[in-house]
Amino acid sequence: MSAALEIQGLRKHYGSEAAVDGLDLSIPRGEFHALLGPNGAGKTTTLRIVAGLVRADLGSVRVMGHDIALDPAAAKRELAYLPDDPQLYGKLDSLEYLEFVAGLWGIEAEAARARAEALLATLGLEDKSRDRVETFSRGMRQKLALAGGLIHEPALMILDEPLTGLDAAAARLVKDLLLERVKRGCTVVLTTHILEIAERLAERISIIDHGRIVAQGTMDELRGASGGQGTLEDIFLELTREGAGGVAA
Amino acid sequence: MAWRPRPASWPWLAAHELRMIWRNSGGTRIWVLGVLVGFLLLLLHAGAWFAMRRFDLEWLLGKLSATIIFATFVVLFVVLSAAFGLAVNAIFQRGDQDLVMSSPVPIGNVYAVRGMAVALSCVALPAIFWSPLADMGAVHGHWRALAAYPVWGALGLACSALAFAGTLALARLLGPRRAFRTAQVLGAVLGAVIVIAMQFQSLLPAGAQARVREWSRSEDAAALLGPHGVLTWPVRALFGDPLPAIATIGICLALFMLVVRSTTGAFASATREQPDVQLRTRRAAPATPRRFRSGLAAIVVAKELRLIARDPTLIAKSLVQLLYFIPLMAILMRRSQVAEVLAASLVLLASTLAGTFAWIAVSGEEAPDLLASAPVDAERLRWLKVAAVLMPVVVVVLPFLAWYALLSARLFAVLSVLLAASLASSAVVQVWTGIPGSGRDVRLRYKKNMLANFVEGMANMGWAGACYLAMAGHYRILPAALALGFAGPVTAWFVGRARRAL
Repeated sequence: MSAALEIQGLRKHYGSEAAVDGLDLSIPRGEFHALLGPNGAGKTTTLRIVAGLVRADLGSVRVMGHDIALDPAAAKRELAYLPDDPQLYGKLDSLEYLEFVAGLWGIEAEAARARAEALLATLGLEDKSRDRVETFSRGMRQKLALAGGLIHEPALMILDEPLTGLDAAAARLVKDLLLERVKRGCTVVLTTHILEIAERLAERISIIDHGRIVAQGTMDELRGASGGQGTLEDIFLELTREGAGGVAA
Repeated sequence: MAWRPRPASWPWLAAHELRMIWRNSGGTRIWVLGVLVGFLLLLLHAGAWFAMRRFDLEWLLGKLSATIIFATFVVLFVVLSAAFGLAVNAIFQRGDQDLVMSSPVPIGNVYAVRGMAVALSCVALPAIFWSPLADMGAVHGHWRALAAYPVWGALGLACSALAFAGTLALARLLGPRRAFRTAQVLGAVLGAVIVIAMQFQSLLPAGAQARVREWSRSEDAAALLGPHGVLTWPVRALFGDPLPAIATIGICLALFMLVVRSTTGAFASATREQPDVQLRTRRAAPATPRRFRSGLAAIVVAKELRLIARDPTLIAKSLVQLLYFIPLMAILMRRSQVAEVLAASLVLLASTLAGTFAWIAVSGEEAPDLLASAPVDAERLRWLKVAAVLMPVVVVVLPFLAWYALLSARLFAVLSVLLAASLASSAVVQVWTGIPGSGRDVRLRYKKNMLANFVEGMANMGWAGACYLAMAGHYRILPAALALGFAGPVTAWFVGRARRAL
């Protein structure tokens, strides 16, 4: 069975600047994977290439076995991508937004409505189903975007900083929801700057710096490879400081 | 060392505002437009050099006082309309509102400087295009013509004061959210009011029209509209007639200072109560079961039409364009010989509306990443979106088409073909050159993609011209108008191809 996400030799330049520089990554199905890296390391560019929003200069990306460049529709059908600043339609209400997203993924109306109502209820937005998105707080927008990402029941979820702007209760809700999806076989790849979240949730962690994976493995593997007993923060700072070499776990 | 204003003083704030105006106008990227405008100004200066050589204002006013008064007030209403839009932005939409309001800068200084910035922005264009007359007047020894610059500045301050006072009064009466919407609509309508008023005059019954003509020959009318009437003072002031110039500058400055002094408190409270704060407390309508739609076309049409119907600025702008047209349609119903002109106007109106709606659908897309990450063909999605937004335009033109069908089969056929061509032209220009994620503010349409919108505008004029020429039977120059119409989509295709290749 193919991996949920298979990236090989990925390169992307903006002018002379390399945003992604020969990145390789393989994430098996049903894994909760955290992609960490300092600002400008190439995380968002990588995720946008995976989601089919940016074209890579070189390399290949396969989502559930489908090449995103050669068969984008098949790859995208399996995928949900949530950017760090979710784009929503301010003048639509929650149900209208979810109806539209479901339609984009070809979900039949009845199934879409049932899923939309269930997701809004799960995320605590059921009483906001007829409120326009422009009236929502940042956290509510984030939750609605997540509902949009889940409505077509994707096999692979790519989330860029999904917990930004959420209060403690909402963050817990989202984390539980993601873990529950992973238990049901969904693969989740998220980026976060809150290292404790990665440490607590992710089965495996990849650390990206200067457009390359500099370390990868479970928390224990990363600790072992870095030769210490430190926290993820210690390992991360050690690996991403200027001039540091990578570790292969 | 270069002089720098003291931080938080009003010159310091003014310098900040000027920098923001420059950056928002496109900053250094605007040089291409700057070169074009510079070239145009050079030509206008050359024309003005001849015009001002033997310039005689009294002679001109003696001949055309009513026309000049009308033109002056059209320009002033357009400036006031622009001032309303800018004042709404300065009160409700500034990104730095919280930062500035939470700082110890005196609120009066902030308000005065924003008022001046609005004044400068709203008169910049008319003042630039007036400058050849002022400059060449001075070259030919009419030094007073240079008074145009301070007079334009003063007129800008007066329009700014009226716009702030009006918007703040609306905020007090209706609350910030409704005031925000109402002021936007008011600003859009104001620019059209005087033109529409003039059109309605020709719709009056014959008896009423005769009475108007009689009044226009009376002494009362001469006192108002004649060469020495008080309504000529703004244009006299612009040419440096001392008393009108001093009076205009004095009255405008006094009005600005009075408004700033008396409404500073209202400005402070309106900026504190942003319209979105009120939106958050708005309750939704009681929920009734809602059916979801199936199929890509159905959900795209529903989404696009909802977004258009819920965009008051867009609706206001579109309604203003329609308002211009209603009196013309009434004239058509009386006098069929103007059918050619009206059909051409209809083509221009419909294609402009179609261009605006298509721009909203393509460039105003709020979630381009969502669409790009969906498993649907991006090209098909874009065309579906545009087809959806063209529906309201088709609904608007259908009654007019029906009227032409009753009038003449030939006129109906010509109008149908050219309407279809013009709508398709506007749509393809936006589809091929649109830049998704440019924002949905229709007021920024021309700024966001200047070349495409210029191309679309020229093509619209080509189609309208072709409609007139085909209906009037001027077939020899018809190909030229058609070529102009086709030039729009062709240019857009090349521009789009260059962008796609990047």
